[in-house]
Order: sequence, then structure tokens, then C-alpha cells
Amino acid sequence: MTGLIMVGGVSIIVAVFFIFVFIAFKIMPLFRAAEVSEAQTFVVPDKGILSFGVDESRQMLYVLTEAGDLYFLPLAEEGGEVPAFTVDAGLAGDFELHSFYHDLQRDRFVLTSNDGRVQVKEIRFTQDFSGGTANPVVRPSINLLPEVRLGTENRPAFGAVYSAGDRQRLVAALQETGDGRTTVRAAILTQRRTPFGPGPLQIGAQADLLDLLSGEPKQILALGTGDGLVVAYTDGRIEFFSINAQAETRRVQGFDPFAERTGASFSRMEFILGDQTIVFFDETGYHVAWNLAFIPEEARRLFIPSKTFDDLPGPLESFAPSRRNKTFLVTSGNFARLSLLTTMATRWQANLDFDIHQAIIAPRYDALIFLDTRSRLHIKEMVDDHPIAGFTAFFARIQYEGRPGRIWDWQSDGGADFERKLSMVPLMIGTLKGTVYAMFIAVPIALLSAVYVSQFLRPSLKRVVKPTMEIMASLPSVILGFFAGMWLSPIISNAVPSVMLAVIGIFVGALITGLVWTRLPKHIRLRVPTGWEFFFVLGPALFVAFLGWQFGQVVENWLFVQYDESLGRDVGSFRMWVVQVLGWDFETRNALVVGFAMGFAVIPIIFTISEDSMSNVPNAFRSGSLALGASRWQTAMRIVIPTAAAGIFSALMIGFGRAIGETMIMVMATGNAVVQDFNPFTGMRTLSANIAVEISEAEQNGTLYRTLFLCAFILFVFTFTLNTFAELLRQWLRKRYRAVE
Amino acid sequence: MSHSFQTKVQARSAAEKEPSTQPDFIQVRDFNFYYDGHKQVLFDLNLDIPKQKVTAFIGPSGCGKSTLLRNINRMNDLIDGIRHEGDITIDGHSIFDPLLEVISLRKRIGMVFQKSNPFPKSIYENIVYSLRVAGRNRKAELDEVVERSLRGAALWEEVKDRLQESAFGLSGGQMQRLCIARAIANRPEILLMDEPCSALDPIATGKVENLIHELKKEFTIVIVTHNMQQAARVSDRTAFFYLGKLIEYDETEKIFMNPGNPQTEAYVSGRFG
Repeated sequence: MTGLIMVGGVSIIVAVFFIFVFIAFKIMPLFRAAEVSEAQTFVVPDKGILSFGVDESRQMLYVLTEAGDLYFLPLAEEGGEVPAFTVDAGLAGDFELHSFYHDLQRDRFVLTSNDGRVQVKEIRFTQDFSGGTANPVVRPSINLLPEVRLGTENRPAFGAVYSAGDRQRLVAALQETGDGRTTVRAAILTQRRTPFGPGPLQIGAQADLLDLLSGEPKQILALGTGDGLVVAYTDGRIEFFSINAQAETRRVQGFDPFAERTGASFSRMEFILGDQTIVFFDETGYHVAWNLAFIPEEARRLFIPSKTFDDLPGPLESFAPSRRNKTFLVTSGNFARLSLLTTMATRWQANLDFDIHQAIIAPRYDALIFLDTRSRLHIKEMVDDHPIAGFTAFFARIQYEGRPGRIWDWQSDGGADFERKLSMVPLMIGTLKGTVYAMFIAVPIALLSAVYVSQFLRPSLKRVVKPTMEIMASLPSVILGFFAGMWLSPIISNAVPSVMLAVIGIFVGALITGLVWTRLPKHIRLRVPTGWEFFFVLGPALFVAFLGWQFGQVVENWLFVQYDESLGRDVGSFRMWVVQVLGWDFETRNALVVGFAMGFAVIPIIFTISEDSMSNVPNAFRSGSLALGASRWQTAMRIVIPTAAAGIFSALMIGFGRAIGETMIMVMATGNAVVQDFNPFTGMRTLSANIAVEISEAEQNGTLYRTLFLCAFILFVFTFTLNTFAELLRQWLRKRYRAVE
Repeated sequence: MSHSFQTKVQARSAAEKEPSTQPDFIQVRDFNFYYDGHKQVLFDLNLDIPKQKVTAFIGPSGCGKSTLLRNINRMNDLIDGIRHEGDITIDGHSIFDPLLEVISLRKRIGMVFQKSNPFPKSIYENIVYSLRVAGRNRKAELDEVVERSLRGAALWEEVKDRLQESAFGLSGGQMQRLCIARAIANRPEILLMDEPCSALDPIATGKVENLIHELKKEFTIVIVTHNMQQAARVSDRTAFFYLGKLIEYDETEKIFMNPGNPQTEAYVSGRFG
């Protein structure tokens, strides 16, 4: 029998350990750097390649040559010679290539000519799976947009950009003027909507920014929304202009990203996926990121400094953003580095054994492709499943795109080019908040009732009260959560003063009755049989609580009067008072509701265990104390509670553990918004609720999936540490107050 | 609280100088006692216990002697469904007087239990417990009480160097003497002892018995015991109970040498019980 028990015990320990190892195993990949394999090398026909890209299945390259021709090259399965060009779509007749801009995120070339014309070529790949093989047949095509002629002087244009926003399309380029200066010209492309679909693109209003410019422009970028231009000057200053459908331009902002580096000169700037962040490079390899953020004081979106990256060993040679996430690949000489914008982490870096002409990230983020200066193509397979994860992402304050300031935040998804926010900190704070409010309500009620029931109540009544409390513990938490979310939360949030006064009323009522009781003449007081006194406290306490509830409305109309704009008059509203006077948020499903509902779930546990431990204090101690003339209260306080301290402490810890892991009540009774304060009038999102809420979004072995395991791991560590600490304390208490055997 | 105690002490020391004219200090009159409302365990008891004497209650298990003892300081109060008829008076005052607070009654009556029950506190705190709950916390007074009580319980020499150590470090006999010291710390008038030696070895028992001899100079002692020799050795008067009835009550010598009732004789000579 003992053998059986031991096997059981050991296997439980093994099982818990196994769960721990399993969770750890699940979260390990989150902290791994990118793994990049040895290169597979191809020889590409040397035609003077300016820039290249690749289709999603990595079967076909496209290259732009110095001659201005666009070629497609099928990639063989193994390394070796890349076959001759298969498709040749040269430039239109007299278009003499002067400069190009390669938008790697969208496989798009923006080309300029010597006489001020701009052409936009979009490369499309269609994948045909009808062959039945794993690799589809890839068919390229080119979408040519209408040619735009900037200005009237037919002077060379360069550095052209094209942006197709939802509302506005924009073509812009730098252009030399007659007097040796450089200007920025922009044209709006319009497209009429017809009953038969969108009409042909037409060239609309044009703008010349010459008068607005404050220096010699070197590079421009167009915002993804097509209504803004970022101009970089040779001296490193940046200016941000807005442009509307009538091509009216206005200067919005000017800044110097290299202010910290004296004497730095501008080299290049590029967007990261999502077109919210620009990385600025100077000529030494120093690079910083600025992102657009909504500035409340200005009520508009401006660029703010966000990230600084480790310097490159030399000037930037090539830059490529990923189109899957916020990583980007930069090279200088034979050095290449893959960085993540969000956490500034280096995912991978190396000195390669060839000089890099251009490097790109494969569209599926599964390879890095390098073209060296000797026309050889090096494909390095890459495994980096969780680029956005890591200690910084989980625990550090981060400045995210679109928001000013470094914050902790959790927002696991929001679209393809969305910056995921995976901080554990607000979830940990939410967990603590929920637990603290639950314990705040549960502990006094549970402990006081346990003391009362074990030390004062008549045994015959105790036999009724205790099982009733234990039935409370078996109430499914989904029911508690449902009641709390649907029924309790509107009541509480509409009558906070009443609820507060009612709760206070119960205590005050009980205390006043107690005081009156001790002042009563003996002949009344002593006629009440021992253990029945509660009967006389209950009524007045409930009555005072009822008065408190009624009085709450009066208090609200008296102290918390606020002007209601929708009604056009003053009303007594605690809710409005909290929002307007304290400046706090107020949600209907808030921490108070959670406190009450969770309290309901936790009270029976704490009550039962601590009542047991107090009842289990040897009767000899109680009798001994009573026989020495101590009152029941003195006996409880001086003998019973210290002796039962270890058990009471266990009860608190088990209650705490229940509260910390409670999920259903948290999911249903709170709004699950991520908050980081201990405001009683807002909800919270706890680690456990987060797992429950997000589990349906988590693709197996994806970043979110593993991050949810990390939530579980943290919860596990929370409770494990807490329980270990509690057990040590309990042992100590037990030793200190051990009963004589 | 402290004031009334002082008056009581003064009243008692006056009584000590002038031997009490009231020989029957505790009077039990027509006392019936029931558990669960109807289960009668004591039947029509009439018993007078003299002051500053040792009175022993003997009888087989379940005869009600402990129940009677525990009625004297109303320790039965917390049991559900108890009921009594008749009366018990101490010094002429009924202990069931509705105007009497049970706490003040218990302050006048010390009690020593069958199993020693020191609190999980230091030796010192065990002794002064009754004073602390009465709100008396003056260090000098407490120190004095500790020494006096421990000397009174013949324990001072053994523990004077470790007063702040846990009471659980004492031997069984020492613990029981500590409980006696604790019971007499607040100078009660009556000391109830419920089989105080049943868990002790003969040497420890001897020490406690000697102690009882000393204590009766100051206290009225009622002792419940299973041990006939002990009753014979320590008590002045002995009451023999059987099945909740008082069979015989007399001078100890008479009960043991020349019992008036054959049941008493059978019991004291060891033929049953």
C-alpha cells in the first residue's frame, strides 16, 4: 500500500515536472536567433544588373539592367548556371534610363529618364498549381502605369517615387532646374470610378516644391497613403510635406535624424514594412529609425525618433525590407545584418566571403539572397520563425509605431503590416490587479467568518453554515462570471457610492451594535445564550447596510454633481465624476465587479481551510484559556489564531492561487482590455484570460501560440514561486506554534 | 477588573486570618445535569465542599465526577444542549446567577486538566496569560507573579533560567506543574484538578501530590482522580460517584477504612471500576 502511495506521489511530481519541461520546450524557440544556412550559389549572366527581386516561390528572378531592360530568369533547382533570359520587356522606345527606385515590398520599379519622364513598372507573378507538383509554374507579367512627364523643361529627373494610397496616388521625383538647383516635383494620379469599375489612370494636378525647399534635396519618399512627401537634404535635415488632391503642398515638420552625430551627411532613407517607419542612414553606417505617431497636443501625425541601431562597419551598400514583418537587411562591403525594427534586435549578422552588390529578403522570409559584385547569386536558407519575439519584446518598454513614448502593450494581431505588441508586463500587472481586488474582498470576509464560525457560533448552527459555504465553492466559475458580467456589473457601475456605503454599512452596523451590546445592562445581555449573539447583530448590520444603499443616491446627488452635456443640466453621477474630476477611466466591467465575483469564488476556499485549521486547534488550548478567565475573543486572538497560523496562511495561499489562475470570471466580468493601472473602475486582462481569449487566434507553433505558452509559463512560475515561498513560511509557522503531540 | 480583584484578595486574606465560619464553601444542591436536553448524567447531587481542604471525587469512568467538576467553573457552557436543575453556590452565591459573568467566575477558579495543556508560548507567557487577559501588563508585577507561581508549583528552580523558552521543551511532569503554576498565577480561590496525574510517571506524580499538600494551605482544591491511593494520600474528604449518583461522601479516612456503602467498599478495595 505504501509502495502504491509512493508510486502515485512520485508520478505526480514527475507529471508536474513534465508539464514544466513541456512548456519550457514550447517557449524555447521564441528566444532563438535566426538560423541561416550555407549559401547555394548560382552564376547569373552578366548584363550589368542594377537591381533584382524574386517571386514568392523563389523560382524566378527579375532584374533591371543598366540598359534599362527588365529580364526574368528561372532559377534551377540546384546551384549552377542560371539559364538564359526568358522574358525581355525592354523600355519603351525613346525612354533613356536615368535613375531607378526599386520598391522591394511591392516588386515595383520607378524609373526616370533624361528628359523628365517617370515610368512605373509593377511586376506580377501568377502561380499555376495545375501541374500537380509542389512547386507551381510561375508566370510573370508587367503592369505599366501611364508615363508621367514632370515639369515642362524636359530636364533629367531622378530618385522618383510612386505611392498608391487608398484615396490618392502620387508620383514624385527630384528634377534639375535650369539654374543648377534641384527641385521636387510631384503629380497626382486620378482614376475615375465608372459603373463598369475603375477607369483609366490619368495625370492630374502637379506641384513644384522649389519654393518650399530649404536646401539641396537628395532623396524623397512618398507616404504609403499618397498624401505626404519626405524630403532629405544633403546636409542630413529632413522635411515632411503634405500634399492634397489638388497638389497643394504644405510643410508639416522638419527634423534632423543625425543631430546626435555632428558632421554626418545624409546617405539614404527607406521605409520599413507598413510605411510607418523610415530608417535614415548617414555615410558612415550610422542609422536611426523615426516613425509616424499621432501627437495628441498637435492633433496630427508627425515623425518622432524611435530606434537607434548598431552602426554598420561602413557606408550602407544595400537595403531590403521584409514584406512579412518589421525586419530589414542591410549590407556594407561583405558585411550583412538582419535587424528587427521593433526591438532593435539583430536577428542575424555575418561577414560573408564575397562583396555584396545587393541583398534581399525572400518574400516568404525563408531565405536571404545576395548578389555579389561578380554576378554570382548566393541563396542562404533561413529559419527565423519568431523574429518579433525575445526578452525585449516581452518585458521591455518599447516605442511602437503610431504611438508616442515607450510603453508596455499587448496587441497580438492587427493585419499584415501591423506591429505586433507582445509585452507580458501588462498581463502580469492585470493578473496581480485581479488577484489583489479579489483578495481585498475575500480575505476579510473569509477570515472573519472562519473565526466566528469556529470560535463563537454554536456547533448546531455551524453544522449548517459550513456545508453551505462549501457548496459555494463548487459553483462553476462560468456562472459567477456570467452573473458578474451581465447582472452585477451594470448595478455596481451605476451605483458605486451605494455599493460602497452598503459594504461599509455592514461593518459599521456590526461594530455599533457590538458597542451598544457591551453597554447593555447585564440582565438583558446575559439572558442571551452563548453563541446566539449574532442574531442581534445581524438585523442592525443589515439595516445600516440598507440605509447605506439608500443613502448612496443622496450622496451621489450631493457630492458628485457633474454637468451632463447631453441632458444640458447638472446630474449626480459618480461615474462622470470619476472621469471628469479624477481623470480616471471608468468601465462598466471593472475591477470592483471582478473583486466581488472572484471574492465569491475565493471566499469558500479560504473560509473552509482556515475554519478547519482553527477548529483543529486542540480543544485543550481553548479550555485552558477559557478556564483562566479569558473571553472567547481573547482565546481566539491569543491562542487559536496563532496556533492555527500555518493553516490560515495555507488557506490564504490556496485562495491566492485560485484567484491568480481564475480564468472564466476574468474573461466574462472584465472587458479584457489591456490596462496597467490599479484603478478600481477599469477592467484588466490577466495572463489566464489572455490565453483563453487568444487561443482561437493562435496557429500551431506560431509566434502567438508559443507566446501563449509563455503566458502559461509565467503563470506557472508565479504560482510555483508563491507556493514554495508560502510552504517555507508555513513550515516555519508550524514549527513556531506546533501543538504538543 | 483589577479593582474588584483587589477587593476580592483583601476579602480573602481577611478570611484567612479569621478561619471561615462557613465550612461549606462550595455547595451543590439537588443538582441534576443533562446532555442533549434529556440524557441525564448527574442525579440529585447534594455536596458541601469545605474551604482550604482537598476534596477528591472518585468513581469509575463515566460516573459524572468530571462533569460535576466542570460545572463548578461552567466549562460545560459551550456544549450544545446542556441543561441543569438545582444549584451550585460558591461562598453563598449561585454560579448560575444570570447576572454573573462567567468570565469573572472563572477568574476565581483555577483549573488543571487531565492532559497538561501549556499554550504554544514561552514558559513566562504561559504563567502570565491569566493576568494579560485581565489587562494587567505591568512588567514588575508579571515578573513577581511568575516567580511566585513557579515557586508555588515547585518548578522555579528547574526553569528559572529558561523562562523565555517554549513551554513545549519541558518534560511531562514539568508541563503539568507549569499548568498548575498557570492556574494559580491569578490567585484563584478554588483549584479544580481533573485527573492531574493520569498522564504522569510515578516520580512526577509524587511531586504533584506533594504540591497539592502545599497548595491546600491557600486554595480550596477539588480533585478528580482514578487513582484510589492518590485520593487516600492527598485528600481530606472523598466523594464516591457511581452512575451519576453520589454514593458516599465523607472524611477520606472513613471512606477508605470504613465505607458505609457496600458499593463504595467494592470500589475502593478494587473489586470493580
